[in-house]
Amino acid sequence: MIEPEAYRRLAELAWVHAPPAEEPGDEDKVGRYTLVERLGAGAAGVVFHAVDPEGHAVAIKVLRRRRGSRYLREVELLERTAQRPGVVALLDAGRSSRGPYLVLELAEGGSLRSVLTRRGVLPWREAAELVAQVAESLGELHQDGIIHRDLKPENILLQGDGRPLLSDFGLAKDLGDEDGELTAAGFALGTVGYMAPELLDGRRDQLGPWTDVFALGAVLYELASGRPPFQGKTLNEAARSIKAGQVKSLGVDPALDALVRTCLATDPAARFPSARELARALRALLAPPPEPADESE
Amino acid sequence: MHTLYTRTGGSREGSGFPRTRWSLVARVVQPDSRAGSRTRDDALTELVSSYWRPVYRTLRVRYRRQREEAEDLTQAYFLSLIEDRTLERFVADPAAGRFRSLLRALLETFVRDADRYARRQKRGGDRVHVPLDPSTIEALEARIAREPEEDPFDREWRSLVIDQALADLANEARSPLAQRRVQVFLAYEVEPKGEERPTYAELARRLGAQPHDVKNDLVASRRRFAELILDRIREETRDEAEAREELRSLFGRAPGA
Repeated sequence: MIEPEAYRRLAELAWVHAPPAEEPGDEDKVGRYTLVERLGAGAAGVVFHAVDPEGHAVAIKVLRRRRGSRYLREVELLERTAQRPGVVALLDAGRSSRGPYLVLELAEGGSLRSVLTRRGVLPWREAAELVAQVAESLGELHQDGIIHRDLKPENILLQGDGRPLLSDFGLAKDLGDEDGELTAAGFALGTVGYMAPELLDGRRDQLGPWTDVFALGAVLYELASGRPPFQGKTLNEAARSIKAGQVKSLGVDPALDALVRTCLATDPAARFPSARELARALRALLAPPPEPADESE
Repeated sequence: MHTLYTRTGGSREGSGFPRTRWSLVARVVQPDSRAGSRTRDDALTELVSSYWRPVYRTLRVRYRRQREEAEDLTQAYFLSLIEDRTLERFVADPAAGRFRSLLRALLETFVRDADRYARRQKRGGDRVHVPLDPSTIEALEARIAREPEEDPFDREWRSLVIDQALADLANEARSPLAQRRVQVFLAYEVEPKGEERPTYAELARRLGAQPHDVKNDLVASRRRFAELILDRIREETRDEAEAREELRSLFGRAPGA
């Protein structure tokens, strides 16, 4: 049992460090941040463009209350990846009357989804370059034993200079953390259309970096063709399409076609084993062909 | 005894609030909860396990009851809440005030008629008897002997919220960084007796970290602890305004008061 002096100390701490209350009229506030506009919403929560008291623009993700465990997981993973290039930076975190929230760097270029909406389709070399950069950042996380599990155009953001940032680690899994599984075996979480068959089936023991490679392959396919590789009128139909593994040709470059098919293989063992391997393959594909030898010499 | 703030593995035996008070109270008062039925007995057990400490301490300190009698009256008090359908009325009335205030006010009424309730308790041989953890009673008795006698109910309620927030802090720490923060917090804020605290350098040596890591860990863990306190209070109150008022009421006084 705790000493009375410690209880007094802790009571004082609870009061002094209590999260600031939101005053009446503060409906546009989360913690000390003023909300500017709503950027989007998903099952996990709502994302806002906001500014801090010094006027710096940030993104605020307010999670639904019942997502408390996932919030903690996301905070921990973002803290671990805070210094990594290519991963959205966590600036602050807290709890407000709206629910737990994360303060993240604001990606000025929006998401790949907004790019797709605006442009429809990207030249295949531009798409491959973007995905290569994402794969390089993702490779670093895989090296640390973290898999993202929910890669899709909505979760890849663009900085002002066009460089991609990985975001939304709400479903990410630390492969070394046996105690940390938030999803029961046999229960799938993620976005159908980008989910590898092993993720769809909830085969936890088969998840690995190759699970993210599948999703990145699907993103690359969509960027280069303007349509997702697997479609269906219903979620079940889309899931069946993924498990059948039938992908139409991109029709742009045979080598890219082959690379994407490797990413989207139904059998995890047939895919690139990690994002780093995928990045190498993309770099090789993008490298300029060697200059033909000058026969006059 | 440090078990209150170690990883609990889901057990809340002998301490702590239920995750949501409303679901517990609803099970206590549901119309088909017959005497002796497992659902209601389970709920009664949970109710006693969760809230007995402030009641016991008040009976001992304010009403000067002996230990054994205080234990019996604590059981009888919770039984009276169910038999008199008090909680049912509370659930039905949005203006009924705070749960803590209600339990405290009802305890005053109960003590006035305590003898009658005690007789009823003795007659009710089929009633569930919820054992009160002897080691917690010992620790509580030690605090009773050392702390001022004012506000025993609120003082113990506050201790209960603190214990639960500490358990939450330990339970949610999964990464090595989060676990080190908890260790720093416990070593600096919880375990020291009196005003003597380890220095940042001592703690850093003990934990294989740098002194500035210890400082950062303390800043982060203090803030998190305060958030967990407020979260616990939110679970016990009807809305944010009531939660803030409850926080002020329980923690906003001068320390030691």
